[in-house]
Amino acid sequence: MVIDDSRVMRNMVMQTLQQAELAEFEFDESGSGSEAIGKFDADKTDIIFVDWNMPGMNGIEFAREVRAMNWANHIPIVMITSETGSERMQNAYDKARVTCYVAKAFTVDEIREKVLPVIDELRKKREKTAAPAPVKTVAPPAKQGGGFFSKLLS
Amino acid sequence: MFTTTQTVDVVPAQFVPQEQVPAVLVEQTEKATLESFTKICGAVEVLETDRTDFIHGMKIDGIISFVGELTWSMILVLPHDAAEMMAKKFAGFDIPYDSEDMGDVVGELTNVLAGVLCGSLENVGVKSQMSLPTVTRGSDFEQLMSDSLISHRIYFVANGHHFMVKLVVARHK
Repeated sequence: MVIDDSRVMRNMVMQTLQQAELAEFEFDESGSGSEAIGKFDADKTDIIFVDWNMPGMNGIEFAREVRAMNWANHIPIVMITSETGSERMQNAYDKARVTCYVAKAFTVDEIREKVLPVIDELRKKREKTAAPAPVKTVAPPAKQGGGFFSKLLS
Repeated sequence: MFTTTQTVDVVPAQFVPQEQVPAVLVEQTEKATLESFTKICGAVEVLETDRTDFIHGMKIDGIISFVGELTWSMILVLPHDAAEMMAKKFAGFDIPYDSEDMGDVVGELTNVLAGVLCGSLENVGVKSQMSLPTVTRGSDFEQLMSDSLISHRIYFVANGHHFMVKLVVARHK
């Protein structure tokens, strides 16, 4: 899901993600945080890219809303931001438990560098849930004969 | 748009009386503009003076206000051709000057510059928060010309296209 009040920015994020070739993406777009909350489907959303500075519900408020949802708080949130102050970045991580951030104006390489670990983590989780349940190995019963109990019983 | 006139009393004592734009703002704006636009457009240079007419002719302005230890506004002034060049460099595709998307892109460019500027100022101990951008497009106009305001213009050239960043602070009375 890509959330930004600017249509051009949404297109840029989607285009850059496709150019980065990190995965095959199917995009869902929203023009605001509140619109995204309204149409948000946790079962169909693997990763969220959200702009920080938006009118109405901003990116931080959106992330906090998502983190408060028990059924959706595991979804990685990538904050797209023009904010560069270190204190502000720390606030984003702390308050909204943002997975990572990408500073505007970004390049394909920067998106790849920031988002690849998130995609890798998603893949690992998916592989774990897709793998068959491990078979429990049960040790064969010990042959009776020479043990303490067999001697006792005899 | 003329919100700066409403914030005169917020300017802290160490920065008044205000007869010129504080040097720290000018220095950090110049640095932030070079940093952010070099990444977007390639080589960008600061010009001491510029004979470009930034008032007449078609242009698009992006405006952001800042509050914090200082209160001021920053205006990115892009003449028609500079706007088209920057929009293409930023978005990666052609964006017509008259389109709605051009307003979007100039808002984002202003936002990017303001974000870098906030970070630069924080590094020198000046904390500030920025507003959302406002974009105006037209010809024969100049933003924030009130007598109660002091402004400073910084001129740049990128890929042969001239543009300006104007800083505006309230005059102390």
